[in-house]
Amino acid sequence: MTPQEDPVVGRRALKIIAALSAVLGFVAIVGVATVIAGDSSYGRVVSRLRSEYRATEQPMYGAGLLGELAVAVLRPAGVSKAKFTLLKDLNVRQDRSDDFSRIILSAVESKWRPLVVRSAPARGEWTYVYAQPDGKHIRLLVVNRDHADAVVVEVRVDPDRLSAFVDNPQILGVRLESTARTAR
Amino acid sequence: MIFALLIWIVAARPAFAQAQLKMDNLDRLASAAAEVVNVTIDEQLLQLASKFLSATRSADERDIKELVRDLKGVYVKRFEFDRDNGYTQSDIDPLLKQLHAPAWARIVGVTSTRELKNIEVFMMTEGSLIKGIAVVAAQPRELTVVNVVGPIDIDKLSRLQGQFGIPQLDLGSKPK
Repeated sequence: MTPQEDPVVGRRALKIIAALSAVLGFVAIVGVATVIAGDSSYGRVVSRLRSEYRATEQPMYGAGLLGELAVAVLRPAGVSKAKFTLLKDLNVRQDRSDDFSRIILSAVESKWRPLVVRSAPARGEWTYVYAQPDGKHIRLLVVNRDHADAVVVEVRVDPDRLSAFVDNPQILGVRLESTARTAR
Repeated sequence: MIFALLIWIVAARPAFAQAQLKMDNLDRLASAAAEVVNVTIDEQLLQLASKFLSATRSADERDIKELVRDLKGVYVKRFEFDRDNGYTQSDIDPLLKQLHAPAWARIVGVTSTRELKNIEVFMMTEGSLIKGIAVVAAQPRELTVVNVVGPIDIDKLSRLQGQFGIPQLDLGSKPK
């Protein structure tokens, strides 16, 4: 009798599949809920850039959400949360030099502290790095625009774990240093 | 003992706050500048950021970690212009007026007529305690103001160049 024909083994397999589906479903719901319920500044920046510049979002085909979930589970280099949006084809023809700054300043909530702001409107370059302490973590919101392309990133980092990762780079017990040396 | 410590904390906070320069008036230069860099790192963010530095990774990192441990803030404003004289003396006068107050002392002044560069370093002290440092680096096409608030070892100041958004200001080479 093969395992497929054994009713006990079949029931056990069904239970495992059902349990895995439930876990995956839960993780997906939690992931989506986290993205939706996350800090509104990130969403507002993306939304304002989309609407004011009629920018199109670079399709990720689910890679973005999967990446966010992977970061939430693996926490590589002390990063426990990461989300990003790539925007392209910003309609900058009517853009005045201070428009981009105005949009970012109005979209980001005051609890985010400007850490580094760099702007070179004549070169079409803007970089905004906002930070806020989150317990022993630090949350960073980065908005970068280069001409008609923009990227919005939010990460939550544990500085101690990031520092430890720099000293001993490994994810899930797999050392990355030797791989990097081999690749060189 | 705890009461004395609380009094010291309450008294110390505004003392260091005096060393933080008001630089908002410089923001009006942004519209004429080709590039503007603004760095604002307060005490809490500085302490979090210093955790990225390791005391064991290298001697430089250890020194910088020690250096920023007691700092209250690092503030940098840098303006780069496409043409000469993108700013005028009146633009930086409000800043210099603060630095010419008795609490501040000019400790270094470097003027290069060849490079048309003028770098001035000011220090605010109270007794033997350094409460803050300000660097004003002016060139025809560039203006940089650095304000470090908090107790700092003056000998190690040059090590902050290239860290926390502070540009290289030729304040002496980094010790090896």
